[in-house]
Amino acid sequence: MPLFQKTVSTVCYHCGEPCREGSVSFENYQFCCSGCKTVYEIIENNGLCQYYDLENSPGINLTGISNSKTWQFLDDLKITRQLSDFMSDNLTVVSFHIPTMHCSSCIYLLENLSRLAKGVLSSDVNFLKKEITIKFDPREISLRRVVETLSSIGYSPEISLNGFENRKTSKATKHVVYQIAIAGFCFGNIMILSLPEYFDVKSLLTENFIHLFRYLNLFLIMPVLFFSASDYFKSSWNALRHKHSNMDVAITMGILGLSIQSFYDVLAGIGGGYFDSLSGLIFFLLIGKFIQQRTFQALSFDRDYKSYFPLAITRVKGEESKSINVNDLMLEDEILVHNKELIPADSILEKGEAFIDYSFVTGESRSVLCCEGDMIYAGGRNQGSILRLRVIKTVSQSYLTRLWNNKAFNKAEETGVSKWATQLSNYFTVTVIALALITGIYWKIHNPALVMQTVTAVLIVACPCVLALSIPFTFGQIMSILGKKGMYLKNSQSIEKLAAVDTIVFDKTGTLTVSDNIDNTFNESLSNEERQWIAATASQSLHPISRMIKGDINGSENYPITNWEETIGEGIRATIKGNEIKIGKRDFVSGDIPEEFDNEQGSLGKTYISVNGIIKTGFAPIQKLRGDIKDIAGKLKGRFQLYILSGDNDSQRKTLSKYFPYENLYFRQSPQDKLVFIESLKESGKNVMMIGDGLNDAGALKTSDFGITVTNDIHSFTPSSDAIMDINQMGLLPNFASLARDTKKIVTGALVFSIMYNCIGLSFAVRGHLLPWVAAILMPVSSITVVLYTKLASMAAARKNKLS
Amino acid sequence: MEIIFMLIAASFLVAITFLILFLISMRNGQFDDMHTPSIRILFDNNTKTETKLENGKSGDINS
Repeated sequence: MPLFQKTVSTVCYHCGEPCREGSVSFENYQFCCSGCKTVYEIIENNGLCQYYDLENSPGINLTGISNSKTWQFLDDLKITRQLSDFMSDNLTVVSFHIPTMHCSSCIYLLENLSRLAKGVLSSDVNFLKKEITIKFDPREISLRRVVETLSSIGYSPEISLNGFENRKTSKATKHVVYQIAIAGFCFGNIMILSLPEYFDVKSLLTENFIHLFRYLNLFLIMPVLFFSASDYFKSSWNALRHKHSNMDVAITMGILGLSIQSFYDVLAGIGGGYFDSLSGLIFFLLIGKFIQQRTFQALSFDRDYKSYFPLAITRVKGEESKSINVNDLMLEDEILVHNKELIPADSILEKGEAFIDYSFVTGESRSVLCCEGDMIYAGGRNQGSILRLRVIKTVSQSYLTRLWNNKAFNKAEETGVSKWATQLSNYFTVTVIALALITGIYWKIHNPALVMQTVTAVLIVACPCVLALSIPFTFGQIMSILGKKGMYLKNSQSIEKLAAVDTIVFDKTGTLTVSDNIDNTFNESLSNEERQWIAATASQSLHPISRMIKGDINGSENYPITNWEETIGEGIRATIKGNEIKIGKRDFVSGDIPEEFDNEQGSLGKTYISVNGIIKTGFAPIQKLRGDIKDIAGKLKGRFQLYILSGDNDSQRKTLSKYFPYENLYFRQSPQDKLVFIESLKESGKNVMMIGDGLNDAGALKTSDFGITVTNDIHSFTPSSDAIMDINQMGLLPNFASLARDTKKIVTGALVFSIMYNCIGLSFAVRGHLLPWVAAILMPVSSITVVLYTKLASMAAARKNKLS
Repeated sequence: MEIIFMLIAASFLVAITFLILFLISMRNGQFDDMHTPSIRILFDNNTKTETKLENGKSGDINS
């Protein structure tokens, strides 16, 4: 549109958006809207202009964000208590997640919150987690004021009933770090003290020294065994009690073998034992464990419906309206739902008409018109003016929330142990025990004095150290490679599930389509000025189609509009400069309809636009399919079975069948249908990957073997899933899948290494020649080579799959 | 050669001191956030100093 090109040259000083007409200038700076100017003024008045020096245009444009959001519910003491970490008479500590935080300027501004709001004592930002911890004096400022201040400068916190569920995991990671620190400290010292054992230094050092060193080692190994290695003992004990074996059992066998032999050696005065190998082993194992536990801190993978719902809702009783917690909603309560708010419970529309966007629940892209007395389901989003509703089901009994009562949501969380590792270690354990027995029997016959020594030596050498290290290191590597490309896995075990996938099910709306777009571009017969008039008319309305029109035309001229009128369910009309503009249904936009607009699949659901009684254009809003859909489907077709489950109508069946097998397209699927469908696929022996976005896919995502949530903003709310993927990276999906498959090859490669080392070690051990220095060299060398190998192999695999 | 006894004791003491210092700083949350302080140090602001002191204690309340 050539009309605007001349004005785009300047950008808003605050938010960096291009300044169009309607922009404001203030103190030599240009702002795209008055909202940005206001924020600038707040910042400027408080002497925080460094905000603009740290980054160019760091601000957040407030136009997209609804201002109707009230924080009234924060006055409720019950909610305040739930949200705060610490509360006393003169100090309250709260932590919020702030999704809009994006640069160093944000940190600067947020950490200087105390200068914007009196009563705030300090604020502390954790940038990676996008979290802010605020301390304030409740006598001087209320929680609501604090949040309102944040919100006024564009940093609205995300407040949900769930709170911060991932705090526990950080504690577990900390515990491992303590264990590593202790093990590393002891390992280093034991190595130094063991060194004399390997050389003939008796000529240099007296016997006393040797004994002192050995007993010091004995002393140093205690914290390693009883603190650092304690988790392995616990885990293998639990496994044995439930009569199955896991990797930790094999590790524990090695640890016990090493320590018994070493204690015996030292106490009997025979030799120095294997304390250095033992502490080194535990040290390396713990590092592997630490890497395995690393996750993407700022992302949340386990949200349930509660995260979606507003914390509080306005309840009306007689004349008085009060903000209450949604959980306190009772049957027959009357509530007010503002524009763009979610409806928290199934209810009945009391007055007027409403447009409800159910795309969140069903995937259906078109808004539904509801009339007085209609039932409105929870999860719908109000598109329009304030609604007055009567609650007929409580939040936990509502249609949407009932989905969560499905057993898929109650299935036991996985133990976090790698399936491959478990399988491999089972063989491993059995082989090692068999080998130890054979060795023992052999020496019992030939030289009974060597039985004890050789059996422990076999257990020591065969410890699956290499195996235990290779899996976490490989998974950690692959996970960070995927993360760099916009695919964030919940945990490293997800890689195995991803590798096993053979069937992929797509959701349509939001996953395969680009949201909010009109497929039909405006008719050429419209002049530029007419387009502007239409945009100006549409901009006054909150109806989704009006907003789409406005977005498509990108209008910004300010026209004096007169006679603007909206007939709900019909259309809008306005007069601009004496020209009458009408947008709406066919009957509303009276006048002759040129045939060219009428020949496409009937006129139902179409919107027409007329200027001065002449219909200029007609179109149906269709969601555009992704541009690269052909590429994605083409690459996946050969290796996977593809399905589409859409909650939407089947208007796009034809287009989609070009890329996907016709018989695998399913439309008008309710969330429950989707869940059941995935279940039936699984029952037929398929490993199903589900890719979806909305709450309507939540059940399917959870039921599937590997659920991926696609989203524009990885920090926004996403349903519980195994992975979160940046929607722009959809095209890389085939590469991700094949990288996961290659991971298995890398692990197998590491297994070959492990077997090789074990063969060398065992050849010493069964003959009774395992000297401490052989073990001390073999152990770290094998660990380091395996780590190097996994690093190089993962990098090679990434390059092969074009992900590096 | 008896000096080795002394040396061992001394090296041990030094190593243990560092271990304990590490554990204490870990406990106080010094390693919780490895990214933000690297940005924070670039802000040249004098009024921030008093709030900084407050932040040091935040670990105790949260944990």
